[in-house]
Amino acid sequence: MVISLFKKKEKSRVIIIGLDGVPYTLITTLLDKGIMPNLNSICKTGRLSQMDTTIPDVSSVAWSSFITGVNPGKHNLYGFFEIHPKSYRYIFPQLSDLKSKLIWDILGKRTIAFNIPSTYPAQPINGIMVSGFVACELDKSVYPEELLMQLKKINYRTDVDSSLGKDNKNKFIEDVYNTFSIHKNLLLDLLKNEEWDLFIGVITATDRLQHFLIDAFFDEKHRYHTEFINFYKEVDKFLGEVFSEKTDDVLFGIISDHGFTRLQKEINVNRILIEKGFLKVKGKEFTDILSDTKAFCLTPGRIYIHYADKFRDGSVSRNGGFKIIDELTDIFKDLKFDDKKVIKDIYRPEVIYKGEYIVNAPDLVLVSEYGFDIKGSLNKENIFNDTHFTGMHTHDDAFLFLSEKYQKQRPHILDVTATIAGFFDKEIIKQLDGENLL
Amino acid sequence: MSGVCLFISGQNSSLLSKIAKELEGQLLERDIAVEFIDIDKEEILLDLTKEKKLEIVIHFCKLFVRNNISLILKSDDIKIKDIIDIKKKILITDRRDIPYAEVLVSSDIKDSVINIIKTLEHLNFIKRLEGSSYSNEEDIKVQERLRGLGYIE
Repeated sequence: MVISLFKKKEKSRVIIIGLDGVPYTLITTLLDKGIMPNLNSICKTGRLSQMDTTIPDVSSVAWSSFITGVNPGKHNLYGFFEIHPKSYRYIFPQLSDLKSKLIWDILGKRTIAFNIPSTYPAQPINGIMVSGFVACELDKSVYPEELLMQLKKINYRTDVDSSLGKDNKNKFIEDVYNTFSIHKNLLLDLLKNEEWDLFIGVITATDRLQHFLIDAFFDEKHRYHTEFINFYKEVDKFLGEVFSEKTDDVLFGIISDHGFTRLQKEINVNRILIEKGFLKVKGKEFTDILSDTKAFCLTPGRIYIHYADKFRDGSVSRNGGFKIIDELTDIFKDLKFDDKKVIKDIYRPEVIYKGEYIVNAPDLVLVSEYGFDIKGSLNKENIFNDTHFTGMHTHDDAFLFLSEKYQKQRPHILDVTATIAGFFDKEIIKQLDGENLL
Repeated sequence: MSGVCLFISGQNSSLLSKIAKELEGQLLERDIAVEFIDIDKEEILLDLTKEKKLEIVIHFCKLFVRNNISLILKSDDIKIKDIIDIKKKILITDRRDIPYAEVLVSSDIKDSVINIIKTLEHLNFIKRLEGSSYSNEEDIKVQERLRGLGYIE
């Protein structure tokens, strides 16, 4: 009998690679077609599954939930923007506005947090932080400061120039490739050359490409089909290179924060509210909302009752709000386009959120059927309209790969954070909303 | 902190209104009680002579300011000379001096409002902002990025 003197090395570090907005169904199609051979090999070492994400299914909410491990009712972020209750102007939440602790602060582990959306301005961290979308000033996007020179040297940029996506597709694609290249090079550099216990790095060019060109994926005759597929070949090479850095002590994961599907029509909820007499505006901005407004919508599908005790010009009493919510629910559950229902679910906040900041949640959240993107525009003349965007987010088609087998059929993005926490310290899971998958 | 009267006058009525609205928004977000009155469009002032309008405006300025409510008053018709006259009249009736400053605004709305806010801060009429909010420049960039992806109009 041979007794091994070498105990298998315990896993002690975690790598999570985020591919922003990449749907499970897109990944599995590409795997089936042999377009992502590296990912195919990686998947054999663990399990790939479809994953649910937050509602609303926007990156700011999803990634904020991921980095805190709790739902929006606790971290208090419900979208990329809110309306100030006194001025009715846009306000844009920052990382420091999150009401819950960040997972790396809870764990106390040395962490590299690279390009995670909604992490701007960068905060002090035991490790390194490079802020993701919507970071705008490089000086405020980096911690520690010493890294700033390196970023400037490589002409680092946070994001693809989305303004190109509408009218200049060639330049846009070039920009997607360039931005991806800058991000992957820095990510790999940090992964290989810095010390870390927890490494989270996100690629966002995937999301940008799909906003403007997901139709090129579905249509093989599309002018940009080859560019789309080639981009994913590059993503695959990158995943292979990252995975080659995985050692036996590492739990390795790849996730997306939401799915994507083809966009057929935009639904202008505020147009419906105007036509039904719930919304009164004297112009085309939220600052033009009049006091007899009963409800308004913010992208994507967040309906707020114009409560007198919440908004400066609000006129609806709490009791009056119940009736309005019922009326709106009736209107939206029957909303149709070409005889097809377009609203899949209508949620009251207490059904999908839990926590002390639920008071700041929308009073109704609409989730649309695939193909219908809900907008809170105030300047659209029609309820349904075409758009230059070809893709829209989905909340039930994100994906998760973990280099360990897990049983849960349908994980949620919050489960990933709980799993990371459980990997380091099972006690911490109690503070979080997700479930340990391992 | 007591209320402040801000007169915005000039020739480009639409620009002045935009500056006034932006300024109102920024002051409200600082938890400053403020009302915007367009003297040229306010229904109850419409058919009055300029002198009568000024008399009413002065009356309301005094009422609002002493109750810590600021006023933004916009008019194409009222000139700086009139505002100085208002100051003199209040000085005579109230027998107290009133801090006074002028700010030149431009066609750049954000820039104009920044200058007004800075002046108000400098005169200690309003507190300097602390904490985590975006600068105006960042605010514009964030809006551009979100607009590019269709999150805002």
